[in-house]
Amino acid sequence: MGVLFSRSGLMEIPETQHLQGALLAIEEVNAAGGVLGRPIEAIHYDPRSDLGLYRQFADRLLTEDAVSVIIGCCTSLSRKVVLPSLERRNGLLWYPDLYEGFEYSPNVIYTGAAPNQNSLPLARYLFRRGARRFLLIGSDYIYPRESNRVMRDLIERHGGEVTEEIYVPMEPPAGALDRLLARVQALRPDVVFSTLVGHSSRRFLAGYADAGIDPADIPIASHNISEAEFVAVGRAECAGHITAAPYFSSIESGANHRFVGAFRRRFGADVPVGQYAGSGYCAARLFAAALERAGEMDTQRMVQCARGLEMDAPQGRIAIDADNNHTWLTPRIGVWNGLDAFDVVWEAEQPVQPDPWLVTYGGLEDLSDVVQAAIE
Amino acid sequence: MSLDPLRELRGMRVLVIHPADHEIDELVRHLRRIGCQARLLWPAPPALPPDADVVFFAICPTGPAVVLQPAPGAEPSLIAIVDYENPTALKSLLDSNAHCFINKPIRPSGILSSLVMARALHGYQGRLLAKVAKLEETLRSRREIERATRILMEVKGLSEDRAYQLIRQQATAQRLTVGVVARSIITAHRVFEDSPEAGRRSASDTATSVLRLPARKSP
Repeated sequence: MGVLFSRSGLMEIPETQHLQGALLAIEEVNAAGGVLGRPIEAIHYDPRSDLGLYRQFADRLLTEDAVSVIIGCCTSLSRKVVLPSLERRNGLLWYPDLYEGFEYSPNVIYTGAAPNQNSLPLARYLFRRGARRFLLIGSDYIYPRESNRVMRDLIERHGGEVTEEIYVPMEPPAGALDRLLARVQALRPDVVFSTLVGHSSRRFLAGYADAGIDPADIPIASHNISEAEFVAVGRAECAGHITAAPYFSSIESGANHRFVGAFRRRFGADVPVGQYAGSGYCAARLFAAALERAGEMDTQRMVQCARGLEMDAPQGRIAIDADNNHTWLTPRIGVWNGLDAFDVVWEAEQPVQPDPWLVTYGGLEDLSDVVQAAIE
Repeated sequence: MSLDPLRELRGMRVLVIHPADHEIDELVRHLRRIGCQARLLWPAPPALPPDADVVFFAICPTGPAVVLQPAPGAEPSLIAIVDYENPTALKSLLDSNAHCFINKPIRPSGILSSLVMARALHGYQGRLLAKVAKLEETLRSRREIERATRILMEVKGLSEDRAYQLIRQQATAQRLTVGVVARSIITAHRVFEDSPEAGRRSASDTATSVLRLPARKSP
């Protein structure tokens, strides 16, 4: 199995978590006797957050290394860059990250959250808290632009207001994040919805604390700020920021305690365990389960066997959708406790079907109930 | 951009007219994935069914696999499924008036773009055609109004401005368009000009009776 996660550069934090989660899963599978009696061998390359290297290493894995299955990529840019190679050589990518939806490739299994599994519950939660004025900020590429489009649509359809929508480059020049902070202070929205990624997200959180903006007044809401980012920032002032994700390390269940315990035994007693670790782990476990069913590495056969596959994951029951190659996950909302974990303040009663095209978007009209309830 | 072009796809009735095979199954599945009500129809019906918003149809070298004459009142957007790209097939594609196309082998990526493009172009084309029809109608009325004005000027001895005002007042009073009133003046004028009794009855009476004008002396 090829493993394509960055250990350095812009996406260092989430991809290191993805990598560790995937490696832990592979080691557990091998310790239990492997798949059909044979161990999984992981070949890892570090693309160092460089898009050219993702493509180059994907090609190397699929040709020189004769690997047909890859787990990897975090940003949509890196997924899009390896997709042509995968489709041409009929490889299979297990893509563990949340993303903006609107994609289906017969050569990809998507195990991260689709927008209906994070943006919709997040908008609903924020409206319920009374937020009406939203400031949307993001890194300038497809995931933030598309997520903000969905968020803006939700906000405006339900009587909220987008005070401004601001983008900064993936690697922002000096001063760009300070200007963002100044806009937050000038506009004083009810909430900042952030789709900044990688290091800029972390630097923004630190700047927010330095500027003395209280999350109790103006929280930052996101899909993608996990335990790993908050721990790396290491500021008590971050308490109160809000994340929508299917996994938090604080989920109370035997399966999750076992996972968190195993992760910390393997990578260090103090390491954070976030949604990226959880999704990397799940993707690799699902791959092993699909391979066990398929009995061979042929891509179409494996996709066929992966569809409908269910698993007891650290976050609870998950399943690969029988049709769209995305994954049924349980949406949750967490509020950062300022120290080491999220307080899970809301979770769906059951796993939610992935809807990458927001086909059942109309079903979100229950958001208006929430708005109504808040008004009453 | 709002989500509306995509919302339009929800529940959109899409018909795929193509022999069943693995690729076409994938097309139908993908259309359902993105929220459309898709169904496969083969053999090709003798004419387009009335209940489709979009029709994907096979282009054979001999032309479209289905007669693309839409049922009255139904105007589906047309998307050709192109297999061969030889000149004969390309001519069939052009002749089919398709709003967009997809190529075989069919891949999931590109289907949504073709669908959105076909809907947008079809809508735009529809608006342009409606505008052309309206402009043509206006142009024709314009000529008829000029003629009717001349008739009134001649038979009633009115000024051009007064004749035109008369037609307009009648149109308002009878809730008709100026063009329709003008046309009835021309028709009546022609009928009585051609009639053998035309000499006995003045054309001005004719126009007056058509317009149900109050009796009034010419200035």
